[in-house]
Amino acid sequence: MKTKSNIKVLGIIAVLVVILPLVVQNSYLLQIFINIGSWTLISLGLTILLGYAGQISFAQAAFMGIGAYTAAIITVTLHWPPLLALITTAVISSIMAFLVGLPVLRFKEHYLALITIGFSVMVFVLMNQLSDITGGPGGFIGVPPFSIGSFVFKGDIANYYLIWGTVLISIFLIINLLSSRIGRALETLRSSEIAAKSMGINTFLLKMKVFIFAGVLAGIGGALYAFQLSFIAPNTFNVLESITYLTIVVVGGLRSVWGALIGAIVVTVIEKGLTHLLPLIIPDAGGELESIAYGLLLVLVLLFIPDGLGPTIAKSFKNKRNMTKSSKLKTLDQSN
Amino acid sequence: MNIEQVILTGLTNGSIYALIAVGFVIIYNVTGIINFAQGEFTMLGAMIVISFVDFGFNMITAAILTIIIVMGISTLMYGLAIYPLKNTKNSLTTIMVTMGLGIVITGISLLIWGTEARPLAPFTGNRPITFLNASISHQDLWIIGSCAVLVLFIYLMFEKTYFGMAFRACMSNKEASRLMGISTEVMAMLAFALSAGIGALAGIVMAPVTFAEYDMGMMLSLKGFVAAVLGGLTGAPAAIIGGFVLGILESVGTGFISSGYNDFIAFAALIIIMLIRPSGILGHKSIKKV
Repeated sequence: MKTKSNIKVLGIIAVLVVILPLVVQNSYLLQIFINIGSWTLISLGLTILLGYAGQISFAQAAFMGIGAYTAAIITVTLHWPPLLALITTAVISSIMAFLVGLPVLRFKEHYLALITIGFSVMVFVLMNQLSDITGGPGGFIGVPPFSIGSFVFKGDIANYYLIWGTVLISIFLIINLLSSRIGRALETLRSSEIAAKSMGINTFLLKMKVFIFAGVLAGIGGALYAFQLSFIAPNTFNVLESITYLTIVVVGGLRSVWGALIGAIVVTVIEKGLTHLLPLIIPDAGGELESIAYGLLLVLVLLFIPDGLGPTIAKSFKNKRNMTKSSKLKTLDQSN
Repeated sequence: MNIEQVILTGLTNGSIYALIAVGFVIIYNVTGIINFAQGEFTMLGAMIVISFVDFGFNMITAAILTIIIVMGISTLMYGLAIYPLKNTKNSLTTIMVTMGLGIVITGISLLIWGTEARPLAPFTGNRPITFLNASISHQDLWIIGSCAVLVLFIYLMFEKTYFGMAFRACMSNKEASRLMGISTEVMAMLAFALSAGIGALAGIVMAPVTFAEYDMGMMLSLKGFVAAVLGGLTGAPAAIIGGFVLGILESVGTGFISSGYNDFIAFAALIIIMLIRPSGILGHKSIKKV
């Protein structure tokens, strides 16, 4: 039942995503939608990792960076086609995630937090220091746009569809995953790891799969980011940037397929909104008020809506629907 | 660079990490919370002390006022954002709250003090002292010295006072200590205040060496956390050793390989240590797997 309604929602979102660029011709707004798409993609896996496996990872930005640099190096230095680069990116991110997760996923949550901090710092140092390969702190210039065969994803609209297509496919995969055997195992893991173990679930393997999945999605997100912007620099993939993705997930709601999407929208809207609104109210306000608002948002959501916005919206929607189901059906009949 | 110099530099940086790590461990053991705003206390300590000195206060008054203010901020933080979560079973929520608080504090500091790095004159003379084959500045001695004094202070407080006994009771068994009439909420609040005071002290002594920048808190939190886990998150002595290990690993990386790679070396070594001893250097051997 839940799966069906989720698929329905996904359908509605897909229609909205397709229509949007036809309605909105403003390239700035389109850029914002692309941004929301990549943030969703990078945070998606984290939703399951935090929500079901209870593990904190600070490595989302690092995986994004690995994806971006892999894509850049493969297309520019090795002259491979972008599609092959994207596949390689997925393979490399999954290997990296496997290696990072291998020693620590057996233990309690803060070990993964620790190792992912260490891993992110190491990746960041390498991006800066291996300047022959990565371009160093100045960044990597001239990544070609993504292409499949002779079709080149050039321009904002093509990239918009590319990123949102990937987001929708990933959400579809997660919906299916959660309604499968793995999903039920995750549900057990969430309520009690001991119970999951005694049911014969290999919790280590399960957490590993989720961690790799999160890493691969972030890696692909990073590669698409590189193809879209054609320029990448290490600072985008700093460990501190990972906190943004944690914020997105917490604000949007853990354990909800829609958490990452809702969180990405809310955080982007707040960020962009503050950038434009604050100078109107306080002329010389800079980024500081943005980050205060950002932190406050995180704290307030956790204090007052600990489940995040996603599940809370869903719950209120469900309550309303149950209460007015009959009347709604009537109005539907009338409109038909 | 010679080995003595590397070790001395490591001890200096390690003292800072040790102080931050002790703050982590005190809060973690009393409340079960990993406080990612810990580095912000250090940033605030450095920032506020510089402001007081700029106002014309002498160093000692400025330091004492700073520590009191930072402890007050921490208590306020506990009361407003951490205490309301006392019934939350999900430790993730509280960790994320402390991170959010860290971001808020960083933002407010940016608002007050701006982006430039703010200097502070060393407490005493500028001439480095030569010791064995290494040279060490007065300020480095201040850093190492205050770490040593603090360790002594913590030891005496925890082992010799009634208050320390209540603290230890809370650390070892929350339920039992509540039954004995110890208010765990008050203890948690005091843990936050104490950790903030220690963090602020770290900020005050390091300010002349590193300068103070509004955004240094989060990185200090991460490094302090790393040092604390390296020590096993069990107690203050282990955290201090964790801090020194991290500091020395970093300075070995800088001194013998390349300054660009020091973080890489430190964290690579850290991961290797964690693989060999997942319970930390001084941690209990039996690790809770469930």
